[in-house]
Amino acid sequence: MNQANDGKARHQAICFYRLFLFVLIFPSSAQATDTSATARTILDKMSQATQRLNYDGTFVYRRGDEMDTMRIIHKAEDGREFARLVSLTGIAREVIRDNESVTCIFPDEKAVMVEKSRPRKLLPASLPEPIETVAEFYTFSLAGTDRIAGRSTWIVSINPKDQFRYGYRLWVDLETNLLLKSELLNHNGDALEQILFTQISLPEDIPESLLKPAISGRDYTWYTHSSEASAARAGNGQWKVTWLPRGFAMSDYEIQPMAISRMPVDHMVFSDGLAMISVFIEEQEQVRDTLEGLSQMGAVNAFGILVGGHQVTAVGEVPRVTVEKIATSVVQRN
Amino acid sequence: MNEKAPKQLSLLMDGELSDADSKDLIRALLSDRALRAAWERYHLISSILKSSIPTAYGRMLVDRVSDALSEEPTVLAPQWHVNRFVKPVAGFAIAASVAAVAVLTVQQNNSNVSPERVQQVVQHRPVTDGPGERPQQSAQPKRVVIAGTETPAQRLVQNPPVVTVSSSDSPQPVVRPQVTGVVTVESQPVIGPQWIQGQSAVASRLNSYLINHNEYGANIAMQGMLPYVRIVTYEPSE
Repeated sequence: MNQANDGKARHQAICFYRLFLFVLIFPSSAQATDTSATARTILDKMSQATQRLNYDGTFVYRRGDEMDTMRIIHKAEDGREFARLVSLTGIAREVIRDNESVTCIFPDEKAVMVEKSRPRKLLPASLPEPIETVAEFYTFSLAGTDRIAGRSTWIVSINPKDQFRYGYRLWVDLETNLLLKSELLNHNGDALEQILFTQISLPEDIPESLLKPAISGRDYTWYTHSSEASAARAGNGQWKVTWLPRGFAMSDYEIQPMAISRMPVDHMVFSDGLAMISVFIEEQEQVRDTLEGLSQMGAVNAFGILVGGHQVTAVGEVPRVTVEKIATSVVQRN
Repeated sequence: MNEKAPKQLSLLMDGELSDADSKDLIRALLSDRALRAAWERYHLISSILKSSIPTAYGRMLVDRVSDALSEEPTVLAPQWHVNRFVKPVAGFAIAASVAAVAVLTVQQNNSNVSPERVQQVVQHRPVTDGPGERPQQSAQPKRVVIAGTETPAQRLVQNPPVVTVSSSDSPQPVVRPQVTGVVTVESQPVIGPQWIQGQSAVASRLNSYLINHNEYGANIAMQGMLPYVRIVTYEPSE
């Protein structure tokens, strides 16, 4: 009880302190709309910096009580992106991505999974139009400044206005606009996932060798889709989602081959401008083990259900209730 | 500072140290400057992780406070010193610091215990995964529920076996070790199979879905490659 009070008092003290700092730093931004616009400008720049800069950094990833340290190496060259993510703790899993493919290496299972990559879009928030739409469902604000990995950062706070999406707190480098810390927050403001860079460098050039996998992969099992089937085609609208949280709209519908499935999979993508939800549909016969109910990986929730001999799975960085309601609303058109 | 001290500090921060040990440790804290520095470091780690670090963080605040107090005419009971002045510095969500300490120390423990755990899982594995294997015929999905009920501190200290595999079809609440405070897992029971890396065809398919989902842009807090941390993450306790 005492401790709770202390915590509360301390929280208030911190809030007050931040407010004080905030007033010091932004004397001209007394109006909330101003900081909201500034916050979104920072997010735009962040989105571009993430794709256009060379960087090599180490960060801590935390979800629940689990914690891992990872290294990320990113190279941008002539409009092409190369990136490699390696776990520095536990098993040395890796993900290597370029403009053609995403390769995940699981040394513990001696398995390699290869999926097709897609050209990176900038954040929807960087487009002028959806900004206003996004602002209907989230509150954007600048929460002050901080210091991460030895660098000065802004703190951008994004709070959802309903319980169907998560909130975010982002620490963005003042100088490079790179994201140095991020938190995904549930409705109570608790962090579900955290990323915190401890060190980051921006080398002029990144040698090829840093982007190569640590294993040869010779004695590994490779999961990859056959090349002739690798062209995705537009969805034919056979499936329909009948419930979505306000502000969500379908941004893509493709029937695409996937490494783990023998037949192409219906993939619908929904977004409110910030959060994204995918719905995957495949024939039950193609599915070795069905998923019914909820599953969770960090802040990603998935809900599976069988509909008319098909496995329907909704996946997204949204609360459980959202994936569940969306998955159970899927119907097959006749 | 003796060998047991770091472990005991962690336990004290979690409120898991016995009363008698707490008294001893608090007495030691009062007399041992190095120990106080460690105590403060743990809390600093905790604060940084929880982003609640005050920018004007004053080092050795406790020392300065107790120095000031020693000049006061009234003699205060040691217990009171600690409760009154250490706790506000400690802040909330104290257990997070244990996770931080665990990062520095637990890795070695994990490497000792992991093969055994993996073995256990493999033995009970309901479905093996591989290309060219015929599809599972059973209509009911096998459910793998892995429960870890130990606190981070216990895991740090004891490495108790935590893997239990249940093939029951009834939903099983999964008890997740809860960190008191900022980083929490939603507390409802997980109904379906856990998204365990490589433990089942379900997990492989979910991973495949997740990669394809990420390729459409993921969310704003996970820019660029960062969504893939979820795939790279290793889960020693699951």
